[in-house]
Amino acid sequence: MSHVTNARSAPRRRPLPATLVVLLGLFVIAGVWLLVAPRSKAQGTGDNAATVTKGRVLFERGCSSCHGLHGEGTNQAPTLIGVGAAAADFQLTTGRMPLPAPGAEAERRDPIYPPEQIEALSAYVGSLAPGPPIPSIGDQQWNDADLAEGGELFRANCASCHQAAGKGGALTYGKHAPALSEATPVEALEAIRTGPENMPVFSPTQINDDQAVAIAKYVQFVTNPPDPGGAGLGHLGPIPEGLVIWLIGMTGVAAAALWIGSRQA
Amino acid sequence: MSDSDNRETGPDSPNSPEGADRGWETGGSVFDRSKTGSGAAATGGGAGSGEQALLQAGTSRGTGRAKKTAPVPAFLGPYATILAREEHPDREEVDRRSYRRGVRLVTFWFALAGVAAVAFIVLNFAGDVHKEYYTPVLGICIGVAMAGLGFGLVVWNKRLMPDEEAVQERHPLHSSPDDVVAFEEDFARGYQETGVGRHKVLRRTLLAAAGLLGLAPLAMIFNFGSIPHGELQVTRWTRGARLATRDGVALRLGDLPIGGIATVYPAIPDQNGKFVALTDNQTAADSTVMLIRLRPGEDQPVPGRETWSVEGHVAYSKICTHAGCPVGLYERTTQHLLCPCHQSTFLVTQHCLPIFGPAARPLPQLPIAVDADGYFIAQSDFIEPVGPSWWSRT
Amino acid sequence: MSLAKRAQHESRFIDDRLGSSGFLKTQLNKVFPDHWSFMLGEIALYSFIILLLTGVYLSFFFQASPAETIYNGSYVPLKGVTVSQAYATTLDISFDVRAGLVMRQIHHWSALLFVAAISVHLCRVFFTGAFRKPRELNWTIGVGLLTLGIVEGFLGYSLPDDLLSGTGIRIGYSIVQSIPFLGSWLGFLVFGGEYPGTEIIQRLYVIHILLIPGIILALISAHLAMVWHQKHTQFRGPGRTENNVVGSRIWPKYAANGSAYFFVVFAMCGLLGGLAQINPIWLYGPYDPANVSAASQPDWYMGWLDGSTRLFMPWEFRGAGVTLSPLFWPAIIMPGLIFTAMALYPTLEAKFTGDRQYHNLLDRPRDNPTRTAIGAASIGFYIVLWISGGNDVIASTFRISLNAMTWVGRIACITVPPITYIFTKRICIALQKRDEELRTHGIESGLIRQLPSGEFIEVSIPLPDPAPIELTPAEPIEEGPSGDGARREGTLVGRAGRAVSGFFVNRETGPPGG
Repeated sequence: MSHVTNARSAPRRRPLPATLVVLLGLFVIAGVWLLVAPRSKAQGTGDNAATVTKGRVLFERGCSSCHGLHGEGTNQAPTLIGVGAAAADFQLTTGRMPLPAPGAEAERRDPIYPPEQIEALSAYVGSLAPGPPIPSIGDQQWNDADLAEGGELFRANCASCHQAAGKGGALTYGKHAPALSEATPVEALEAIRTGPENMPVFSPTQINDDQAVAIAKYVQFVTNPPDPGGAGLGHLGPIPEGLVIWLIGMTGVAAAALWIGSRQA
Repeated sequence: MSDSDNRETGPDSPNSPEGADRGWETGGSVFDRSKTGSGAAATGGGAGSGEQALLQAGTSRGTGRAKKTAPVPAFLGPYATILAREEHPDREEVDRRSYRRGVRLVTFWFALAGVAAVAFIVLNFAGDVHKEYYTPVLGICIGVAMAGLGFGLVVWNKRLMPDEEAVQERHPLHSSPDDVVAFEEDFARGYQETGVGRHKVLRRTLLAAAGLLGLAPLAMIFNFGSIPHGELQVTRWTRGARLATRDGVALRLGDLPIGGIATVYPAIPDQNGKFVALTDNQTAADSTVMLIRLRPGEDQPVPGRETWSVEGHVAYSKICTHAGCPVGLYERTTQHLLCPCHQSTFLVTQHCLPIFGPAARPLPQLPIAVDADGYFIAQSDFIEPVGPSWWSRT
Repeated sequence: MSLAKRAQHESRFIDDRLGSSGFLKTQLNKVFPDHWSFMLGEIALYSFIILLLTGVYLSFFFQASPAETIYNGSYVPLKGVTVSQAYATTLDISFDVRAGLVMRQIHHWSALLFVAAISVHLCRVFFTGAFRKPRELNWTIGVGLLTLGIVEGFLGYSLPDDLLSGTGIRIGYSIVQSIPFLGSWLGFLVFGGEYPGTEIIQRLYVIHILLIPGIILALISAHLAMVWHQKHTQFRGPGRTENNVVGSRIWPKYAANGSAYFFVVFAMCGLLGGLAQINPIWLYGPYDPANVSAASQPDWYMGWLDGSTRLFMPWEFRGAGVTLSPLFWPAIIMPGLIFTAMALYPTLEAKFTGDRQYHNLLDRPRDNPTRTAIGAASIGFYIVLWISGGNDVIASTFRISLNAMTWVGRIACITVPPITYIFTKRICIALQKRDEELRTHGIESGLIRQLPSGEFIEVSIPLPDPAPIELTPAEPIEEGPSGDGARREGTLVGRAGRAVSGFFVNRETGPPGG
């Protein structure tokens, strides 16, 4: 039977209910996706000693213009004497070195050198002076590492810059603490021991090797944690939550008011 | 429109015969009549015109036909008027189909809500609370159930209920001048009768008693917490307290690499002379200290504080002087300490001078030394209060 | 017994005892104006109901105790960690209590929605002038509800005793401490001694679940009762006057809409609660005063205060034996002034415009350019502070310098409001002029016709009759017989009053809508 129409309101079918159905469907799909979405597995190993000579050749070709012929440093770049193989391995495997241009910010990129050349370069830098070696993590050690202890150490030492879920954060004057989502356990250990860029150095007396492995294990966990409550919203806390409540929550219910409050469908 | 007295003679009026009789058996209730449709409306002789108007609105859609005449403006007693509505006779067939579609749609939404509610109940018991699907599916169930009810009601309202535009007159919010005056006079008379105005003693003792009684709960506020007696001025650091990490490990000279930082707590000897680190929240809230090892010669101490550091090791309070957050972000090469709460930035090499952000005071420095066993120890407590400012901070 | 019979029976049973039918008949036929924006306040009401329902469920499982315990629930990465009872029970609610996490998340989302809805509702009321006589009291109650909602939200955010909320409490303590004369003592009173003490979570909990919800409930009741008694405002339109209400009756149209909307709001909160993870305290870890996470933020409604605190210059007064913290101005004085100004706004506007009339018809924002401009400037100010509250996350997400963000915020919070003010006012006046042209000349057709005399004229289409609601002119404000300026002719106060009043009523272009 008729929609009794008002003299002044034109009877017009609004597509809103259909839109809402679609939205609802999207919510359902999002929910299902959350349940079946694949989770990447962490993995990481690697240490070796390669020929120092091969490394020296590579070094002289690719690094010496900034770091000096024997890694003694220039006014453009710091000395590499004593930084250890761990530092070189970290910088090269994370693609931070070589820099695309002098003075650029060292950001994570795809590595320039293939793995065997990185091995050689690291061995060469490690041979310059005693320094932290490339760490290795035994399977036993990894399995024994206590996630809870790693978490406590991470919150006490790392979260202030890298954020509780390893999402990174801002530092002063345009510098940034990187997100840890791509860091392998070995890279995490190397960073702890060598303090790349502005990161402080943590010695084995402060954080012993088992503890460092526990931290690395926690980093692997927390950067890709299970989200029992639905979409993780980037694990960045109240800011994405505020965006969601305004852009989805408030906008959604206001749109519903527009639909409900309109005269006749 | 002028029928404003209608209500007085309507069935709701206790004075009317119908009202007194209540018509329990006569079927005079609006519930019955709205159920039986328009035919019954005519027989509801006792009903006032207001209820008839209601009825007309209710059945013009429900019976589905024969309502080609535009309803007369319906007047609902003194409350509201339904404005005239237009109906198109030629649209009747179309509308009937639309009506049936509406019924189907509402049924669908309600059924969906029911299914979702059942799913919620089943999942609540049968679902695995530790699986990642649990909470999202529960949320979807709640959402779908609620949305089903909501959408069903909206569609019902829009498609199956008659649309209407009603008008209601507003009445002045203020009382009539007579009432205003009468109230004021009554109040004043009552006031006169109390004699409060004449009995000065009564008035004053009453006010005094009430005031004093009011003070009693105020006094109880003092029971919520003590008055500060210098607690804010001191921390748990004392002369000889070791600098221990969270794990209770006292740090020794050489434990920290250059560019290293450690969050340390005071470790003080217990009865047996064993050093125990105080890492509880109460201690940590004001005694947390950062021990930082600078490059040799990098530190530029304030005159008079040259002996407060040991071989490039400096110790500063971790509690921000602005709002008390832990100043945790240490930049090894620029020697900045950044507070993540409000971005106050301190320069470590210059006694943690604030160089950016809202903090106005440097982080207090803890004078440290190394004891005979090589352990870092505090020379004394901080010489100034740590943390944010307060009024009587000196 | 049929449904109708039963309903009749119940209705009469109650009426025989309470005499309710006469009253209810009046109420059922009450007319409520139809406009979608009048439903925004309902969102807040419904989220409050959702908050009560979910909150009761949570309170059965939560223990507001700082007592230390070893966590031994099912979340492995915290197993064996020493945490407070409050934190442990929140983890239990999240991981081990059936339907615990979804209720917790619905509770949190609807809390965010509660404050958001109040804010939007407040803007609607402000920009349409719905706060004017006789509704000033209700506006003030509304401002009170907003304040309480913010406080209530902050207390709830603080309860789980996680690293994020503990940081918030720490800042809260410092803010209390910054109050002149009494600060350190007030801090001790609130926390039962020196920070952090052992009392605070229990106290926050009692205030959160008993005291403030009770006050909010009472104020909401008063708010609704006043709306009910005074009848809702309406927009201008044919047949709508200051002395009537045009819309749908409460029964059945409005009741159906209202309950439908409750379910829709609940559906949104339910879906968000299930599908969008909020406040994952297990990632933040237990509170430790020595720890902090980068990107520590409060919930959105506190963000502007965090922003003002971040932007404030390091101005600390020290001297004469006293210290005045730089926290005091942006965290206490600024919000205090803003909320006071908000609560007093209806009084102030009436004073400066000399408008003492009843207003049941709403303004459109353009009808009162000054008010709209004040509102827009305030929103501009708020948004600058709000963005600054998250400037570290923005800086790290978009690779901007944090310090640059801070300085942009410092400059913007001073420059954005006046610029917004001027632009908004001009736009409003331009829109008024356009309406005026439409009213007097009709709609531009784009057709040019040459008259026999050779003259070109533009053909304009006259407005339909009745004119669209949007073009119904606002009624000019009749100035009271004796404005404040008239009474205190020569005094400084009088002249200042006239100056400010001229700010509101533009004498050159005439009253709004004229």
